[in-house]
Amino acid sequence: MTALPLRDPSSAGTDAAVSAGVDALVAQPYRYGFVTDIETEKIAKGLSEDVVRLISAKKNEPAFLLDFRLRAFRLWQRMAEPDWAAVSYPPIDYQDIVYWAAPRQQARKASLDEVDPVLLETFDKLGIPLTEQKRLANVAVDAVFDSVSIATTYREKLAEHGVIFCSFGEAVAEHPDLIERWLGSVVPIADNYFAALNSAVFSDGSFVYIPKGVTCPMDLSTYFRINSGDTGQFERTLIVAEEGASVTYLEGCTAPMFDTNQLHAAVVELVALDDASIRYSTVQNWYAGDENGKGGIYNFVTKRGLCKGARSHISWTQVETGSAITWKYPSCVLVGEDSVGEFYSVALTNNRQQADTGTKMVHVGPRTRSTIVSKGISAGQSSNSYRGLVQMGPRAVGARNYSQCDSMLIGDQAAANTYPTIRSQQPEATVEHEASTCRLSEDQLFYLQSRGIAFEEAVSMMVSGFCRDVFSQLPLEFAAEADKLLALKLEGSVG
Amino acid sequence: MTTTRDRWSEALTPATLPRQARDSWRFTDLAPLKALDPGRLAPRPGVIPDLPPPAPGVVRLCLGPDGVSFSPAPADISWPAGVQVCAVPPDVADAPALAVRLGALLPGPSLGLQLAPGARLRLELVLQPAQAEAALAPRLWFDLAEDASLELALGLWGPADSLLVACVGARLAAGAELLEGQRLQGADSAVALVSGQVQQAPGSRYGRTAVVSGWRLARLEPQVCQTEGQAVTTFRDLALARGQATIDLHSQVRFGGPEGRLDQLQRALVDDGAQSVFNGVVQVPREAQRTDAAQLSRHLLLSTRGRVDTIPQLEIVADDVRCTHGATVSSLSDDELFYLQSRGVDRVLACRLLTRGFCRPIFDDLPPLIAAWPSEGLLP
Amino acid sequence: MSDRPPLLEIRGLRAAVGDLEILRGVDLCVHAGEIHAVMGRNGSGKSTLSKVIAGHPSYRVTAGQILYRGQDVADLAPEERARAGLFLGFQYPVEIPGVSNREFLRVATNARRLARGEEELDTFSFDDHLEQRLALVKMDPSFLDRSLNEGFSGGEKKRNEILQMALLEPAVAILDETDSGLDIDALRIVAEGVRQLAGPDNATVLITHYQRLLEAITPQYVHVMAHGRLLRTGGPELALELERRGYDWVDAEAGLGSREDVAV
Ligand SMILES: Nc1ncnc2c1ncn2[C@@H]1O[C@H](COP(=O)(O)OP(=O)(O)O)[C@@H](O)[C@H]1O
Ligand SMILES: [Mg+2]
Repeated sequence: MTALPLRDPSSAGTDAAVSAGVDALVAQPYRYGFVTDIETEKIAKGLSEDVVRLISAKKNEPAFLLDFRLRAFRLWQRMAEPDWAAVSYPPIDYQDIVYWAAPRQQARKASLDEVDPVLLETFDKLGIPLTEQKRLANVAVDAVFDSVSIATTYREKLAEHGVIFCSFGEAVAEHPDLIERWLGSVVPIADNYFAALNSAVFSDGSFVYIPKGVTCPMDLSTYFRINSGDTGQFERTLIVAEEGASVTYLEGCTAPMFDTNQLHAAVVELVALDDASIRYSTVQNWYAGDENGKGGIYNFVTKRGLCKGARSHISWTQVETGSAITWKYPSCVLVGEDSVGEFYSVALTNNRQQADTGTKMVHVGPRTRSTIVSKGISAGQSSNSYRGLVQMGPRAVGARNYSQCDSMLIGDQAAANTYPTIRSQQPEATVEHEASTCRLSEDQLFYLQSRGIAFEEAVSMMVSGFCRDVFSQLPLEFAAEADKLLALKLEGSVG
Repeated sequence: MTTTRDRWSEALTPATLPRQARDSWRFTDLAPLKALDPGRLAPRPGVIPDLPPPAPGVVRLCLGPDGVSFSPAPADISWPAGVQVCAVPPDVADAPALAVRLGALLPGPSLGLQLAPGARLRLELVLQPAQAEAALAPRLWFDLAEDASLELALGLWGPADSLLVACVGARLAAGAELLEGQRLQGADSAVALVSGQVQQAPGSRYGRTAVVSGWRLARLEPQVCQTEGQAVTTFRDLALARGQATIDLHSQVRFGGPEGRLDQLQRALVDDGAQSVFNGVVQVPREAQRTDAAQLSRHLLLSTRGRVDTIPQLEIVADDVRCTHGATVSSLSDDELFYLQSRGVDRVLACRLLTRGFCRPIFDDLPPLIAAWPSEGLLP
Repeated sequence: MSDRPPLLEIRGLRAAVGDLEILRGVDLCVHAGEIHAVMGRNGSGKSTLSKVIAGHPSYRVTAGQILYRGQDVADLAPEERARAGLFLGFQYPVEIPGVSNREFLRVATNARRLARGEEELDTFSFDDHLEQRLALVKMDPSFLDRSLNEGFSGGEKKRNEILQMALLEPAVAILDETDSGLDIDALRIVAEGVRQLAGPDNATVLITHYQRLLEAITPQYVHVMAHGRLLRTGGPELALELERRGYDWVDAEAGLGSREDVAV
């Protein structure tokens, strides 16, 4: 980490001095920008029905899945890319993307020790050791490298509790009934352009099944790594919590630095039955492009949870710091009576990043409750939009929503937009929305500094204070990580 | 040759609207407007309003017998010193509001006034057609020089199956003040489209309070641009949406410079099968440092058939600003009802008291001229 | 004890919010001319008891009866109870923006008068009537033209409650912590108001957890509430004992152990 120049408060009088001090700090290299040199099997660029069939064939998929993909592909061809978000990018050439890439290795290894050491080393470097000796205690990890899952830890231990945690591909082979039952039940194939694309070409991802009454004995985690420069990543996550089950799930992501943009169009579906609880946390740190906006991931993701059962509970927590463009609205459909949906988000944009993110809380059942806490931090020349929908349907008697959207602006060239939509058709439902804007100002920093707090620490104090309501929702290991990540991403942007 | 009817249908086709304009109709159904038959709409004579005589020094103009002019004629009035009748400039917006496009197809009345530096005017405009199927399309323009002040009370009525298309424009120089009170009352088959375009120079003040009641569809699009900031804008809106009414407020305030202020409060009461739409855009670009903007939208939803769509929108690119917005949608509070009931007030009356209480803040902020108009039947 | 039938009698009252039982069997008997005090820790159920008596819809009565002048009030709406002469001075009076205090007071007063077979007061005579009562609580008349309780300080809200009591002339007044948050002067005014309104035909129930108010108004009976029940009843000396010894001994005597024990 670059050392931050400690500044003498007595000389911190002018804004210019602050800016200069800060600019020097910024240019923080992206830590995960390396490329793993591994032989990769790729199919040719381009998308057609044949490519969809090829992907399905490579994965030996049953007929229902090929059919699912083909229906999605045909619908996708007739759909238009959404243009309502406050983001702009040159048109994407969908024929210029590789839809399948996998490290060349023999059929999936029975044991981790047989996995290509280069891959293990990659995940080591990312801070996600997979081997038995080094793996994280108490967190089971599914490691996804480009289009395929290369390893899942703790599978046996989880199996003792009846918990299924494996790559999507394995789930299709081993539990086709579960996949057929739940796949597409929350995000229908034609839900939106990117979801339809994903449904046609998804490669791998994670599958979680928690049986009735089981509290998952450890946190589950998937780590997504994009390695190839011209490959799109289209993974699919499906989590099903049966009655009374509960699970905490973490997702992390990184990618190398390329000066081209890579498309990441994932779909995540969560299903919670009666009294089930799913907490889904993301710390997203895809490569964001350089300070001039060159390169970086287009993160166009559809995440949705269905609170199907009574008293079920789905909670989304996200810390979004990476990606050139983020287009993402983790949502909850609250069908079961007394079910609860939550969305806690920190979205940080710097340089030329664009984020259009928020949530949808669709209240269907009676006495459903939702909470939205969104903290947007915009620095540099970035643009950060909160876009949300709270909908109270006719049956949502006694439902409640509370939303709070705060923006912090750093510098006078960053944009913070808020577009909350509230729709209500139920008089006995209550919706409350509040939004405010503040800035990280020199005055405040100076005040802290003049009490003896270092500049760097003052920034991080103020930012983490601003985000506290969200960080407190993260699992412990993640919270500290998120705090550091933000400080790192912001260095040099204050002033 | 294209007929009025052709131009009419063309004006109503969303496809011809710019993308953004189309988006802004996402929650509002134009069907009631399309259901009006342009062949039957015509200017209708104005009624003599049932109002107390104007206070001394107040000018009151009503809708004339031809339905397209003012009575008395503005040219015949002895205006206060510094007030002069002028032409209404054509609308020059790139993406004119639907009201502007339709207004161009309909005859007047129109009134333009210039207020010289320091001039003061209190003006009442009472436009109430006497018959159904009226087409009423007032175009108003006020040009206020430095320190001029205008209090405007604007009453617009829509009889059954009528169309009201009103365009109000104003330019306020430094120190000028425009205090506008609007009352829009329509039959449950009438449609109103009201657009406002106000430009404020630094140091000017613009206050606009509108109470809308009745109508099948009423759409208000007040837009303010504080050209160089440092001005004060106040919006107060109350929609009383009952029956099958859709009352839609699309406001937009843009700060073109630093230190502007906006205080906006929108309230809507939604009962029966009515709908309220609120879309309030506040734009704070980079040059608008130290803007102080507060926007609050409060909806009282009283019926299971009613509907509320509200989208407060903040777009901010300056860092040293204070911008807040809030929105609530709820029914009457049980605790408030219980408090009143525990003092012996029966439930029906308690509901009425609370409902009136909900509307009160807007009535309290009506400028004096329009506040003096009788308001029976407006409140629940 | 008087031979007359009680004004208010509560028998085996149990009440719950959802599945959570808060009142677990309350018995209380209040005759005309009496002043009762109910004391107890925070969370013991005092406010719940008062709100259940006033008919708050959040609470479900699961057992027992509330008899007012011998009649079960179960089927009476809150406003009917109020008109009949039951009054609750709220611990936390709500703020109601937009509803003028004066108008509210007039509507409430007239509703009670009608129920008593008296004539309604027109605006003018009501204002006169109001002025007299205002003096009693030493409230600034400017508060009348503000919205109901909106932006009132804690003390002002409490005075407004006493003013309402003075206007409604209840037979049974239950004052829920009307003394808390008041400075000495305000407390004196409130106490004075309560004393003046107390008479041989009505009764007052003071809910408090301080001895302070009881120094100004001496109750004949003091009840101690804990865990949703009135555990003990005594004379004014009980209040002093509570002040001196705290509440733990009450729990112990009732066989509940101290609060800490209960939590385990
Ligand atoms: N509406 C309610 N919903 C849930 N719990 C309640 C409600 N009202 C009271 N309680 C609970 O009941 C208990 C008694 O509360 P309360 O009657 O206010 O006590 P006190 O007035 O003696 O301090 C407390 O634990 C309180 O949290
Ligand atoms: Mg209490």
